[in-house]
Amino acid sequence: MLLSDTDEQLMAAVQNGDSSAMGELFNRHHAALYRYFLRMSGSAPLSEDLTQDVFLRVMRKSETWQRDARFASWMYRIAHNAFIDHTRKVKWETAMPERMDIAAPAGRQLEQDQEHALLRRALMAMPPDKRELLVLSRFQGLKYEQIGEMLGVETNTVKVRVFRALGQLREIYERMSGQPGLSVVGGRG
Amino acid sequence: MECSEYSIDIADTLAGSASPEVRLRAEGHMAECSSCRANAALWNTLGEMPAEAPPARLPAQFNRQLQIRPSAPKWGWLAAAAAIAVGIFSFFAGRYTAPKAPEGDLATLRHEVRNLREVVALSLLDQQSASERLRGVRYSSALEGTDPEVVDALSRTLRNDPSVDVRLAAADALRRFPMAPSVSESVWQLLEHDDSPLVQIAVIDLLSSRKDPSAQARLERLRDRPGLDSNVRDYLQALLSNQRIKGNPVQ
Repeated sequence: MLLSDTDEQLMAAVQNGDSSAMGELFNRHHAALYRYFLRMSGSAPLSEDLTQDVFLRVMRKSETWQRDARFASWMYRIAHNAFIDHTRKVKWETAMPERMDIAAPAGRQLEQDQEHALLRRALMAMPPDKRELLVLSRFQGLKYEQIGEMLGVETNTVKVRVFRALGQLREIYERMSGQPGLSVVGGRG
Repeated sequence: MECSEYSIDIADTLAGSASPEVRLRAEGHMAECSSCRANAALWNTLGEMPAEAPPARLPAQFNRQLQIRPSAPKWGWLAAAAAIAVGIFSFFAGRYTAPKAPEGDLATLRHEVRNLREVVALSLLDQQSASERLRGVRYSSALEGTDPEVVDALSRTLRNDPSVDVRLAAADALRRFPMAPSVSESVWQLLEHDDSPLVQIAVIDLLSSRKDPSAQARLERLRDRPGLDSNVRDYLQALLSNQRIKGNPVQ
């Protein structure tokens, strides 16, 4: 196993029982996956848990990975399912958290940090499926095509849904901030 | 034309995947449409949000999980399900083959159901998913009686589980069970090496709630140990300076 190996080469090694390849895949992707879960759930402990859970699922399901499939798309599909499994379990037990486990804003960037904090709250107020589209396309840097593969929809459908989700986020953001067209929304376009 | 007719063009433009013609078309629309312009600005702002880093301990935790279960994962769930099924079968088989307890059918059945719950709790504590293990801890804490095997499993979870949440829940669950001296000692040892201040505080609560005459002195030694997390030290200080505890052995 080499550090220069592609994800797909590493995944092929995992299929052949190489656990060090699994460790390398974890090193490459755990931070991005953690952020995905943090954006989706707002909970840092849960994000830690789910991140590890995804890689354990990757190992368990390694036989089902097709060698011509992109590892990242496959991994995010597993992450998507892990999050859905979790929300089904807690659906009747707990409500979605209203705040995120992220350090409070401080220092000279206070205003911008507050804007970001409000945006995080607006994101958390979105329906999970719409939030996920923005998280995947904007924060995780997935291409629309990859998101389409992951969710089983056409690429153009993903684009339309991202466009609509963005509009919905803006509505929630403006409602929360109490004033439409804040600097963040109107000024830097 | 309406905004929705530009949605694909705008989405491509925002992602940087638009061709020059598509980009021109989208920008032309946005120049005239304040709503789409605002959406584009929001997209830019989303991109400026800081990326939170995961805790540095996460890779080590994951590696620990890999070492704990090097080959079982593929059929782990099946093994767990089989263990539970065997447990259920054994208990019900026992019910029909064993002689009746003197207190009658109802008491026997109640005893068997309690044992069955213990088997389920023990199986859940051994699961790969932290959420399942958390369920196992909750299940254990709801059990009647004090099966030493359950107490052992909870103390093992408290000492070894990679998830802080599960360890905290185990510490909480253990509060209602009596612990054998050997188990109690192993929990004391945990205070020496657990790297989570939250877990350390939960364990301190657990140990200080026991009738252990040596607890006060041991907690004082812990408080004075160099390198102890300052929050844990403050907590210990407050606990030890409590008059009720100060005047008596910690109970």
